[in-house]
Amino acid sequence: MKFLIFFMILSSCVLTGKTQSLREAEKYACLAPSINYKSLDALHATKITAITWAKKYTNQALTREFNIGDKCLHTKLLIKMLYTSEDADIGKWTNKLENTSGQIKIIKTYYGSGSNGLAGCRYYISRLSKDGNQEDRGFIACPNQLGWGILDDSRGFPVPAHLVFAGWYFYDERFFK
Amino acid sequence: MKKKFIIYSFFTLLTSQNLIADNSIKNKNITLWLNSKEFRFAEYMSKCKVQHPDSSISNCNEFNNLRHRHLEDKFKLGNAYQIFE
Repeated sequence: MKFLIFFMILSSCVLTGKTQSLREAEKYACLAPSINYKSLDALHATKITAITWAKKYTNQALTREFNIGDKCLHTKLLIKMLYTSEDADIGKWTNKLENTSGQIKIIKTYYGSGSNGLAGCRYYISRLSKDGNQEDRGFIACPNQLGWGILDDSRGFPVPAHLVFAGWYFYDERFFK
Repeated sequence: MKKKFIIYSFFTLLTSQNLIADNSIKNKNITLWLNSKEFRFAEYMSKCKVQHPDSSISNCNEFNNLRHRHLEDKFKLGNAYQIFE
């Protein structure tokens, strides 16, 4: 019986590629990509290879994630900053009871034709702290989907966005290196 | 037996109190988000689409203006968020 329940949970995850915590974040639209990073990265990997997905899914399952309240605080800050903040602005939130905090810094906005197809995109860094451990992640948020020739994988196909949310396509900055 | 029961009850009560406190903080932050302007704006921007004169369709993100030289002057940072009710 226990095996059957375990199998049902596992198969539902395998079919959707979504973790429980990501489904909860989707329910409340608390989808800031940095605070859902491991779940989104595992899901993103389903679009690339199954082995990568399995590794990332396991990694995510073994890590203690931020709770849904923190995810909502971070998403709230991100939406406001992406739409209203100047380059170099920094926004913060703190949850003293959970000993967690987050920061977002807008690094750069790409203007005009000299941006190699990134015009309209905003590069930002998100810093998350939990129990004294700190993690920085960079994202490029674009108002449209990046096309051919900007972010190609080894087979020449455009790398898909990690997340499409609130009028933005979020790309993991590590793909641009 | 009675002593064991008291210790067990004490720990159960302590854990449940922590869980209740933990959940109320979580719920408070969720409620704060769901009642915020940022949430309503994010929902609106997730759905909003605009059709251009060349019949192409894009989302309503005002940063799209930065992709076209003739629209760059129309771009004003934070304008859409500020006028959104």
